Amino acid sequence: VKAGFELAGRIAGALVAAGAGAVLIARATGASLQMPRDAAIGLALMALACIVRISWPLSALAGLGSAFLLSRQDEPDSALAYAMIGVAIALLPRFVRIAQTLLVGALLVSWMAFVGYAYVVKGFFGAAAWIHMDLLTMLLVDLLCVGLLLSRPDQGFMRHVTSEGAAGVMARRLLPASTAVPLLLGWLALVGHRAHLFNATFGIALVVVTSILLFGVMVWLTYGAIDRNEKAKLRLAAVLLEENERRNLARELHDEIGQTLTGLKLRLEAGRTAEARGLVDELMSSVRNLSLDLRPAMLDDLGLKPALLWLFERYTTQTGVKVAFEHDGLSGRFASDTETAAFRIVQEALTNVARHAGAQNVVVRVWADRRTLGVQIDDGGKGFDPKSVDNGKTGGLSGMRERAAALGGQLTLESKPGEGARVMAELPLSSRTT
Amino acid sequence: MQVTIALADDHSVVLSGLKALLASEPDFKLVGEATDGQQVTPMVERARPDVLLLDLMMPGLNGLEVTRLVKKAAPQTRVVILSMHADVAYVVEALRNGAQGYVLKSAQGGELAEAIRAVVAGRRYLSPPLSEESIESYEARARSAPPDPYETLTGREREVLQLVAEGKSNVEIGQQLSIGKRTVETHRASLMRKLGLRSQAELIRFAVKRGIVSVE
Repeated sequence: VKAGFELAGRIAGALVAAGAGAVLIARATGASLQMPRDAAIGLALMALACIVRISWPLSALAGLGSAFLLSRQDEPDSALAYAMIGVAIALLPRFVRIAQTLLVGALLVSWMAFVGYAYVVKGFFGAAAWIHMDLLTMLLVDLLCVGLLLSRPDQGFMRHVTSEGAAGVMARRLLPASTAVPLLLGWLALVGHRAHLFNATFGIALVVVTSILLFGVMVWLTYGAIDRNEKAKLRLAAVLLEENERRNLARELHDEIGQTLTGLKLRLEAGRTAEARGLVDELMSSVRNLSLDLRPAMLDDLGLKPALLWLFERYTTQTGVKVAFEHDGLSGRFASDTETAAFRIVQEALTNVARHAGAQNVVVRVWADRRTLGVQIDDGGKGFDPKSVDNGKTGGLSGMRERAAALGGQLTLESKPGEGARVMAELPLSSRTT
Repeated sequence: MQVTIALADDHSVVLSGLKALLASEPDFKLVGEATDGQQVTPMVERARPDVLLLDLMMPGLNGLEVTRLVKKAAPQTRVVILSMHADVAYVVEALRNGAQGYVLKSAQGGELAEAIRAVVAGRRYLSPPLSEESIESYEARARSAPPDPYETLTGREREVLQLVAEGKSNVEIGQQLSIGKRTVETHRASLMRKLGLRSQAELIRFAVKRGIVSVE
C-alpha cells in the first residue's frame, strides 16, 4: 500500500511538474514569465516535493553529505533534484545565475542516474551509489530543467547559449554533441563488450576513433556556421554604416539646404534680391562643405598631396593641433583606391590623435617609391598600450587596418603609455598612373 | 576692339547665364561653345577665340587636362577657369596647367568681364578672396623636406637594422626576435630599400653615422 501510494504520488507529482515545465517551455519563446507567477509555481513545486517525499527535502537542502547518509530506497537523488528545481524556480525571477546553476546541477544528477541505468553500473564510483532515479522522474527532471533554463533565454549564462554571435552558435552546436556523443559511444562500447562482440581494448579504440571523427565533423560544421555568421555580421555592419551616413546626409540636406532654400524663395518672392544673394552664398558654402565631408573632390581631381594639405588646414582650424607634413615622391598620381586608402588612414589617425592623444603637434610623413606608398602619423601625445585597443574594439583602428589589408598592404601601430603613438601603413603600388 | 570668347560648361543653366552676362558687354563676341571636355580642344582650334571660359569640372575630360591641351593646341587663347572650388590647391593646379584667370562661380556678375579684360591685357586674374599671397603660402606649405628615411622604418625593421649592423646573421636575428629567417630577410630587404642602401658595408656605415651602433 505504501509503495502504491508512493508510486501514485510520484506520478501525480511528475504530471503536475511536467505540466508546469511545458507551460514554461511554451512561454520561453514569447515574453519572459511574470515574476509573481514564477514564484507561485516555485513554491507549489517545493510543496509538492515535500508532500511526495516528506522525509527528504530537509536533508536534501542540508547538502550532499546528509543525502548520502539516507537509505538507498528513499531515492534522495529525486528529492535533491526536485528541491534544486523548486529553489531554482523561486530564485529565478531575482537571482538568475544561482537558479540556472541549480538547474544545471539537477540536470547533472538526473544524467548521472541515466548513466547508471544505461551502463548498468551498480556502484557508480561509490559516491553515486544512491543515484538511481526511475526513468520517468529523470525525464521529468530533464524536461523541467531545460524548460526553466529556456524561460530566461536572455539572462544569466543562457545569454551566451542563445546569443546571436559566434560564441552562441558554437555553444548551441557543441553543447548537445559534447554530452550526447560520449554517452552514446560509451554505451555502445560497453554493450558490445558485454555481448562479447569485441574486447575492451577494441571498444576503447572504437570510442576514440569515432569520437575524433564525430567531433571533427562537428567542429567543421560549427566552423562553417560561425564563418557565415561573421560574414553576415560584417555585411550588416557595412549596411548600417551606410544607412547612418545616409541619415546624416538626409538630415543635413533637409535642415541646412532645405531651410535656406525656403528662405531664399520667400525673399525672391518679396523681391529682396540683396538678401537673396547672401542666402545663395550661404547655400554654396553649405553644399561645398557637405560634399567635402562626404568625399573631398580634391582627392579625385588633384590627388593625394593637395587633398592632404587641405585636410591638414581644416584639421588644424577645427582642433588646434598643428600638423607638420613631410613628404617625398608625391608629385604624380597613384591608383584611386590607393590614394583613397592613404587619405582615409591619415584622416582617421588624425581624428584619433585629436580625440585621445592630447597632443598639440603631429607629424605626418608620406613617402612613395616605385613599390610602396607609406603613410605615418606620429604624435607626441599620451600614448597607450597597443594591446588594449588592438582587438577590434576601436572601430577606427580596425577600419584602417582593413583598408590597408584590402590593398595588400599592412598597418602597424606602435605606442607606449607616455611615449606617443605612431600609426604606419604601407600600401603596395602595383601600377602608378601619370 | 572686339574680344572673341568661347564657352565650355556642361550645365546648360550656367551656359545660358554666362551668355546673358556676355551679351551685356557690347565688345564681347561669342564664337563657340562646348558642353563636354572632349569637344573643347577641337572647338578652340576651329574658333580661335581670344579667351576661353572653361568650367573646371567637365565631364569627359577634366578642366585641368583640357587647359593643358588647349594651351598646346592654341597658345594665343587665354584660359579663364570657372570653378566652384575656392581652395588654393585648385588655383595652383590650374595656373600650373596654363590658365591665366580663375573665377569663382560665386563671384559677382561684373567680375567675369573684369577677368576677361585682365587676361586679354596679359594680366593674371584671380577672384577674391584668392590672391597671389594665398598661392605663395600654399606653395610654401606644399614644399617640404622629405621625411627622414630612418623614421619610415617600422619598429621591427629598426630592431633588424641594429642587429644586422652588430654583425648578426639572419638566423641569429630570427632567434633573438623569435621570428623566422625568411621574415628577417623580408624586413632586411625592406629597410635597405627604404634607406636606399645597397650593401652590408653601406648599412654598417649608415648605422655608425646614426649612432645605432658604435665603433670600438
